[in-house]
Amino acid sequence: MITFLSVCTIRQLPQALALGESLQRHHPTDSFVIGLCDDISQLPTGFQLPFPLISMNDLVIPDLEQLSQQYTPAEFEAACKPFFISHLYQSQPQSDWLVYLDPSVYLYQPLTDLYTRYSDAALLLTPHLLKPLTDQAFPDEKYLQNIGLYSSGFIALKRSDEAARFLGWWGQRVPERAFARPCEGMYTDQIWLALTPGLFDGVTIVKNPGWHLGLWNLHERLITEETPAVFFNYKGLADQEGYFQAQDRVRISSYPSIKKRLQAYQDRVRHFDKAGLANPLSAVVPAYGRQPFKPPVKGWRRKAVATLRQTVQFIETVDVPRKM
Amino acid sequence: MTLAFTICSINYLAQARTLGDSLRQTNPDWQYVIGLVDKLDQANLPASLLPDYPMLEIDQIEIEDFAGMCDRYDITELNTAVKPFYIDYFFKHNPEATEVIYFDPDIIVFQPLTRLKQHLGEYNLVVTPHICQPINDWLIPNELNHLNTGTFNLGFIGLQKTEESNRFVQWWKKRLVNECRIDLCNGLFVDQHWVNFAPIYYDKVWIEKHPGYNAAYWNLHERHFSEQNGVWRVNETADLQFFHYSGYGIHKPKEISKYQNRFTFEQRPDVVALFDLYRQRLLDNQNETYRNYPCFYIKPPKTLYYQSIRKSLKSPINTLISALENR
Repeated sequence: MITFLSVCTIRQLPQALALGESLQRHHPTDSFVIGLCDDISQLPTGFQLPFPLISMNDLVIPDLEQLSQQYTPAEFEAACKPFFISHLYQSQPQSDWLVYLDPSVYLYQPLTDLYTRYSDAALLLTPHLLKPLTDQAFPDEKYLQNIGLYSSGFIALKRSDEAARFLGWWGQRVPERAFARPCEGMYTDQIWLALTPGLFDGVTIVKNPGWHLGLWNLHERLITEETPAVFFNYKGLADQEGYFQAQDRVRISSYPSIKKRLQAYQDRVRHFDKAGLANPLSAVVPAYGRQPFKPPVKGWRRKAVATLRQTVQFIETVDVPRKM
Repeated sequence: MTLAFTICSINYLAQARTLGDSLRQTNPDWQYVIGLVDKLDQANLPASLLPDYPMLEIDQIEIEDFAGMCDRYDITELNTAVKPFYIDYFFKHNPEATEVIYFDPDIIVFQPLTRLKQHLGEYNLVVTPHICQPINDWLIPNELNHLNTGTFNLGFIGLQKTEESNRFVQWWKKRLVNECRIDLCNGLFVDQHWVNFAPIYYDKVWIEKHPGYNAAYWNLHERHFSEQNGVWRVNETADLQFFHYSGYGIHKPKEISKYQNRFTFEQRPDVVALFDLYRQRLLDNQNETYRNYPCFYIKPPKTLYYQSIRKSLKSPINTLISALENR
């Protein structure tokens, strides 16, 4: 049996519910659990969650207040993610796979490979990119080195000693070091995954181009009948989340079939957002993560800043001989 | 035929010879070449200092923009940036070399590398992770340092000559022409950080976790050494294949490496003899003479004049940058 898990704030619940709907369709006999990384008392009155829930009250998070104080909302969620995954891993011994998915994921095909191709793996990782970049657009490979080559929007754990060892290791590191600080080698819960192929046995890199499509890799994923889209992450497309908000490679209008899927997805999210409530879920401000998020500089501003920085560097380093 | 090579300048020829001697002893059927980032006709080495191994000078391997690279890079960056260019050269010009293996010059090989040879029959690339067991402290180097500088150590890489590994080499070359800098905030650490992409972009990349491979200061926390009947063993379970004396200098014999602060020789008596052995071999190979030769490609340090003019030119641009960044 597979247990699926997503971790989200109340604001992201409509997306998690859409994900749950897609999981019920493609994995009707498996279970889906939502980890609510938010203040559960902020849920609108009368709201009924159709899936089992793990709340912050179920977890033992040392220094919760301190973590909330030091992180942005996204960093805070990343810091708490390993607690949710470990909690579920321990409380569901009957499930042989535990699959974490971002709330912004939507499934289009069942993950049948888990029981065939990947049956011997301990930990599955999906790289952001599968092929070298050939253009000058943003993000480039250097940027990915800073934020992590493997996306933490998907992690599949096969119940095994190695998976348990990974969770222990990750859970010890991430909560205190989930800052987005590339100069110090840190980037949320995600960059840590880069060490796992060396540290753990059975770490398997998923190279199926239908897995984990997103804003960052549409340019290299040709979706056909032979390689259908298995799951899509609408992060940064249907919300203002993620690390690719400043990307200038992919224009969704160039991908009409994906645009159609995005619109259908947004309809489902809107449906769950209202769901007969007086106030939409998306209006609830996250309770944790008090550091303000500084949105990345985008578009022409980003290009202008890059050119100006080059000019500054030139002024700093150009060799001007001294007049005799 | 297997071709092993290293890259260094004349000042490191004692190391390159020590590596070559160890290979000749342990893997006598391999060819060994020293890639020399220096100019022999300028250095005028006396015959007594010419190594017993073929040397291939950097200006002989047809690097398209070598002048530009010399201009952009300091000596560490330059010496690492040319690695895939040498591999590419061997792939093209040494058709008998079916496997090409790079070793940093400060390595000693202790065993016939039969396991490596076997893997290179089956895989395109063989790389070694810095760490195979977690590091549970935050001394240097720690896990964050490895995340910043690359998870695999590029003091070693083995390649089987295949189309796939050639694709890897071409990609790596392209990146290193302009971006072999040390710039951690921008995701760059010489040639090494790039190789994180190798197992993702390319098929059949073997991640070698055998504890006898590329043993060095960064994995001492997981490896203990002992000698039994003249054979060095790791964790009493495996034979030491090759040791990487990175950051060790015979003029600082009390330091395991200038790049680490986790262990002293007092704490690690098990490695003392390994380093004594290395120190002696370097001295025997005339380290004290070689080290005085300056590298032909080292640029004289630039003195930047007119600092106050530079400052006043920069200041309005920086104001504009912060206005753009903060709206």
